[in-house]
Amino acid sequence: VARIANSQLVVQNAIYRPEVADVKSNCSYRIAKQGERTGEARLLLKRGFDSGRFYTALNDTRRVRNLQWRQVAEESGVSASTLTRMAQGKGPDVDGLAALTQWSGLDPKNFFAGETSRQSDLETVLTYLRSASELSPEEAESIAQIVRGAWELAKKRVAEK
Amino acid sequence: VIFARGFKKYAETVAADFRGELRLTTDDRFDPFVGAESLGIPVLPLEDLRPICESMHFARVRDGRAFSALTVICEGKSLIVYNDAHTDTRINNSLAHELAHALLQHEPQPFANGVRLRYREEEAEADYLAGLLLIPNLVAVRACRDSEKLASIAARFGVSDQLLKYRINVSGARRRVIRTYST
Repeated sequence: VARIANSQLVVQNAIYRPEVADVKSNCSYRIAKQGERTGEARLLLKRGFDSGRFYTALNDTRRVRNLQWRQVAEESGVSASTLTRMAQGKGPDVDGLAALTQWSGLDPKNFFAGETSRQSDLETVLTYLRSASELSPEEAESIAQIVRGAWELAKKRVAEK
Repeated sequence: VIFARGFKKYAETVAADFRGELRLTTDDRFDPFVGAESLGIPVLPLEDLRPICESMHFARVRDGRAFSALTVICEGKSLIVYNDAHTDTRINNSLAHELAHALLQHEPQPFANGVRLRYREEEAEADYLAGLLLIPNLVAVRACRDSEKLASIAARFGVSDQLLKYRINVSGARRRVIRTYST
């Protein structure tokens, strides 16, 4: 029990400084720019793009702008399932990446696989847990064991990849 | 629970988009295992944890009613563990609930041992989206119109009668049925 409590340290995310994308009033310019982004996105995806890390940066952008994920999906036009896949390291498609680049103002060139590690030496056991709302202390203790076990398996899987 | 403005509509979009990606029509059953695979989220039965957990704790969690499922998020990547001692309909609901958390990109919480996390709006949101994934609104309307078929519709979609009734209640199916008959 104490072991779990001790391991609850805080993850310090790298801080990205997202710039707010410029609003261009010229429509034709915007379309041209979008085409350019799509081409750029296609190239980047071929060269091994780290979607997990891009997702983390996107999350920071969202926080800075004080928005819900729902608003990110609605404003960028990228579906919730695509965003969820990105969190799992499954890349967005070309259009999705282009749309998110435009929305966030992030430079996708900074997110090549293997350039910088997301790993941190500090860890927090992060969960969503679905269980009965009234737990006895014994039940809580046992569930804590299961959470720890699941965490170990998850860590192993991440390390294997 | 009162949802944030716009949440229900958004959840409907998310469910419809995701079911669409899985090529499910209104009449098709949502299989959470297929859904998880599409999202790249591994799903493990509790049984897989037996070798690495103390047997007393393992048995208590497995045989107790308290534990349904959990997601751990390690370096941004999710992994779901569910209680395989539960019935299929309950497992479907638990897994759909976990997938809903992932789809709504809820902020995972640091696990606090022994301390119950307060009931958060996120839980209600995940329940709502899970319901939509399992039972689309049109199915709820159909079940409401033909209450004799309630059990067979529930079985067909892999959910409990209770969940189907919940969907009839929250989807506004009743109002829709009355409106249909009165016009």
